[in-house]
Amino acid sequence: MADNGNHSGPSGKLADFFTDLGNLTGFTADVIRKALKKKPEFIEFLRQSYLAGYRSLPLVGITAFIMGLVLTLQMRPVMADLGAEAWLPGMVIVAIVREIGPVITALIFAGRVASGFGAELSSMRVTEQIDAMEVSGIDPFKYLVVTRVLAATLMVPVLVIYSDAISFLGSFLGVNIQDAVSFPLFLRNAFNSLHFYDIVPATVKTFLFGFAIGIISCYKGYYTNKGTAGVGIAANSSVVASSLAVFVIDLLVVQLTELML
Amino acid sequence: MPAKTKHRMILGMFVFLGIVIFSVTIYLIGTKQNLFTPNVKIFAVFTDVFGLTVGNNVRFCGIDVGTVSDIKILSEKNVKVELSIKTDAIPYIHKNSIATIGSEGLMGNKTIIIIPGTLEERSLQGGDTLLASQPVNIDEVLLELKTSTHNISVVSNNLIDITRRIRNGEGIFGMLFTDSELTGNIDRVSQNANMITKNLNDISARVKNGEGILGKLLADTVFSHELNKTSKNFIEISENLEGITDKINRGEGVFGKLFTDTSLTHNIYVTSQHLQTSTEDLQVVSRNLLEITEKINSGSGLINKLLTDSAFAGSVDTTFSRLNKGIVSATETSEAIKKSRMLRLFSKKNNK
Amino acid sequence: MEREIFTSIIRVEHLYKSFNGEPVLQDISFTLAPGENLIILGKSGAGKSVLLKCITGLLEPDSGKRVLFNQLLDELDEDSLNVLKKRIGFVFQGSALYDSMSLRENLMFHLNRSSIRFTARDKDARVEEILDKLGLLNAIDKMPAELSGGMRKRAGLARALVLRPEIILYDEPTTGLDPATSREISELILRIQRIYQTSSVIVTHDMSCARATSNRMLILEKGSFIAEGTYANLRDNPVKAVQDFFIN
Ligand SMILES: Nc1ncnc2c1ncn2[C@@H]1O[C@H](COP(=O)(O)OP(=O)(O)OP(=O)(O)O)[C@@H](O)[C@H]1O
Ligand SMILES: [Mg+2]
Repeated sequence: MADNGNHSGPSGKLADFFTDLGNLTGFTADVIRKALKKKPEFIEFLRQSYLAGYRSLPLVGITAFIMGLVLTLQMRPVMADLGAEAWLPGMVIVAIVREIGPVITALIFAGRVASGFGAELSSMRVTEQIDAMEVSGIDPFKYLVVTRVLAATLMVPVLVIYSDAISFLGSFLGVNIQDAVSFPLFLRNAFNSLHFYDIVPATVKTFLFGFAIGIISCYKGYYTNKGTAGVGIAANSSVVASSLAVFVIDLLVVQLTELML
Repeated sequence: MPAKTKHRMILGMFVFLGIVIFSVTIYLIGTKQNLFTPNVKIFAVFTDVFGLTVGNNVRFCGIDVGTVSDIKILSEKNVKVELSIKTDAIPYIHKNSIATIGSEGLMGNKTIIIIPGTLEERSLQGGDTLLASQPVNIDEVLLELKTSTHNISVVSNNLIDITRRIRNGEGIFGMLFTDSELTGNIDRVSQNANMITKNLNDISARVKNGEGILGKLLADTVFSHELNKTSKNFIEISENLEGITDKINRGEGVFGKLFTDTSLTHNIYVTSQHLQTSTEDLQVVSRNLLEITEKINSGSGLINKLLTDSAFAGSVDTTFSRLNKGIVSATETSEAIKKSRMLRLFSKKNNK
Repeated sequence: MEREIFTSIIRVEHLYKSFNGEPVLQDISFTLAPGENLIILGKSGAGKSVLLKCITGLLEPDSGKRVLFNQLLDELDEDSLNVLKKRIGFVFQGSALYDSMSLRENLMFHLNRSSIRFTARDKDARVEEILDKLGLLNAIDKMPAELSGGMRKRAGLARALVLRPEIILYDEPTTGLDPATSREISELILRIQRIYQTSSVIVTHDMSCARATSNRMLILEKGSFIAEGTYANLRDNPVKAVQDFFIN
């Protein structure tokens, strides 16, 4: 465990990438192993959940509201051309629940929380705080990484629920800018288009998003090795890599659900 | 520590509310798919289900009363559909109700429509099998409607032409009708045409009355059948008419032999009157249709009230506008014919 | 607390460590006797911090034996290693205070994870006692960022001491401090050793600290020990590299 990130292997970008991926896989296995085996650092997990989850709500909420509103306004002309304004709520809600809600929320989460995890852990690494835990027989991995990964895994889904619900309100406003549609009617229209096969993969996906964001940003932070400059690099690459992971997972989940349904 | 406790509480509320929203969503979707309300399983056997899938709605009197819960192939010509019907709707569905397959629009989902039975029969029980009526394909109906309206416009123009000539050309009256059988034919045919245009008129009026294209045209299979039959008749009859009038127009001998019998003058006059009424009716039909299509086009009220399905509205629109166009061009054609070679032929004969 | 009797509390034999092919530690061997204060002197970059980290298992040496409390480090599984580590205090060069926690929480963090179960009152008493001894009691609820450099050093010391470790490893406890504070820290180290009966390894290049605290001194130069002895012995050692420490 006393691995300070000396992941030196064969040179070359591709080799680096594979080494990185291999290390990340090992890291993931460690997280899962320690999450299952040891008694959890429950208080720290709650603290991280509060910071990562609840504190992200305003940003997620505002973005979600605007997404719902804008999407509705943008889709309206097309639907109006088809003479199917009545389908607008359903259309927007399906788009939000299936794709836009989870992905936008995950990206915001990556921007806000992954960078935080990356910077925090790497600065703890650089200032030897992680060593200080380790040397006193406290498992920093369990305390710092497992709690954060768990918090991210569980908070992204919760945030996505809020995001979807708030987008809903945005969309309702968007519909009502032109038409007068009562909220019950709007709900009815929306839910008529929504099925379990929309909800289930979309929900599974959010857990994967959270897990990936947590794992990647903690990995980047935990294994910094370039001093103070490493903090910035870790924060930056946490966001880049976890955003990319969000899209890749999204693609895979969409393909998988296509296959399964 | 109070701050920590507060944070803990906020986090708790945050997660709790999230779970509540999620649960409500699941519940709402679930109730829509009748997962959480008590229901009764009944069956219907079709030869073709037109892409019906599990989860499609079941409608009774226009109300969603359940969903399709299973579809099984029994044999090459039999597909057994299991319907999950809300318990509270069951008492109103009688044993002799008929199940058919409709759609929520041409582009929309398929639905099972249960046409109410009669009160003499007992109400449904779980495991009952409903009578099934194979649905009418609305696309075919519309296509036939289109063909027949095209035909009728051609026919009516020919008829207009003939009757005009009969009325105007005194010279023609000199060589009047001898073939009574043929005249009788014309008479009968034009009467039929008259009836059919009345039918069409009726239909378009009903549509205009806002009983709902969706409700009527799609849900009411009886009506669909009627429409279907009408248009089929129409095609046949108008083809007949076309043949006759064409012959008359060509003036092949028929014309010479035709108009000799003065006793039939009255007959042909009556016939021409029929034809006039028919064409006038046709005009009314087209005006009704025009009105409807205009309303559809402007999207005012009607579309939201009657047609939630835009694609269907679109295809009705095109059909009706073509119908309209057919009538307009028919009128034009008749004008052209009037000035055409034929007329000059008659005038020459007249001059002789 | 009853203590086992050891002839040597730390024994290191033939330790080698290199980074990216560059040797940092070469054939390091030494022992620490119970109750002893061992000074390791060395210039910047000599490998002092690396040595301490290898001893405590923060870094894995390329080869060599490390025996702590008569237990071979490499033979221990993760759990017993963690138990063993709780008997060692480490004072980091840069204090390494947890900057998301107040001073009290920094200490509590370690107390809460000790192998011994304390009552809440015991824990508070312990934290306050240690901080009082180190003159930090009035800063107890401050965050690390709000402390001065000297206070941070003392706070790092306090955190290392809060579990009453049997060995304390100091990594340059006085570096970067003014002479007065530096002397204060040195006295503190001695006092702690007397009060808690600890054995310590003190890594430094500060001669006044070395003189004040040492029983025995080792001089590390380019990754290996070049001299050993008391302060007085070494002052008379003619080797240039040794004498360099005694100039100024
Ligand atoms: N993680 C690491 N990766 C690569 N090289 C390292 C690492 N840690 C230390 N080194 C190298 O090992 C050598 C010894 O470093 P060390 O930190 O032990 O020096 P030091 O004796 O503690 O110096 P100072 O008094 O400045 O703290 C240095 O040359 C350093 O570059
Ligand atoms: Mg050092």
